[in-house]
Amino acid sequence: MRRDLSLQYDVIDNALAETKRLLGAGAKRPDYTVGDVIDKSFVTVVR
Amino acid sequence: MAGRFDAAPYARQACRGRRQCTGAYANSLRVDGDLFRADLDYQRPWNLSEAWPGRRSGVARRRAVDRIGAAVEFRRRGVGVGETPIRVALQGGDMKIFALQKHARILSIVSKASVQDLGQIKVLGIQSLGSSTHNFWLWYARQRKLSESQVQFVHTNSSAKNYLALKSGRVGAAIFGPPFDVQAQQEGFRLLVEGMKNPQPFPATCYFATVGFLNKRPEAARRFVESMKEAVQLFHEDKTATLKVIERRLRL
Repeated sequence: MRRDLSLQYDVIDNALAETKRLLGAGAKRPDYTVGDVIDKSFVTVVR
Repeated sequence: MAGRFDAAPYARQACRGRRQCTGAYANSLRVDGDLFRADLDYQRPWNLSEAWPGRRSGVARRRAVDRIGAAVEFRRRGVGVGETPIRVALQGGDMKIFALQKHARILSIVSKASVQDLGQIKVLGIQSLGSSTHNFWLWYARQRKLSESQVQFVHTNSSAKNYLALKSGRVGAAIFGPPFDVQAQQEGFRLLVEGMKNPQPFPATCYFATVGFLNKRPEAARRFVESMKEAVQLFHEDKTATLKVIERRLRL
């Protein structure tokens, strides 16, 4: 299993895209990216 | 590798005699190699957050992890594949993901008997967009180079409803885990992807907290992450300790 976080980011990115699509115009922060929603100063791989 | 083992049979056996697990499942507690997954009670998935190994093993206490504002303070909303904090953040809320955990997903893709390949699925039951089941499909579809838009998704909210949707014929295929995949197979449905035999290293849990909390108590969040790392390591390497933790978790 890869130790990097790219797969996790992919999953979060999927969730972000789908949630944006779901919220549509209701999203107050439509420009949010994976980098915005994750605090990378803490993020680590628990495995 | 010595010291690594599959604890799923123990967990299942332990759950058999427990009333609150009746009709639910001791899904998997597979501890081998790089894979880790702990889902012990289908009926109360949010209660049984993946933070419990840290708490039950005593690691959290040793690392002075208290109510850290993630899985503990948010309780039933602290863990998930990410849709909750993302939704809150997109709607202007104060929420950040601060840790991610990998699992061995044992979800199965089950179809009616007439569907013989993933490429033939037209209507697929998932829990919700952005959920583990949805991401599981996207992940598989990409691996198989299938068009992500080939299927129409039907939201069902739970594995049990996914299973019922398949039984009722509302969907041609659905994604869910034990015990429904076993039941479905016994009833003549086809397991296109069998989770238990083919667990996937799939990230399905994130820990999140408010930005205010992370700014105010960053050390607490770091201790939480460290305790989870230590607990998972313990599960990988120490069979005796892991069985004790399972016993405590199941109140045996």
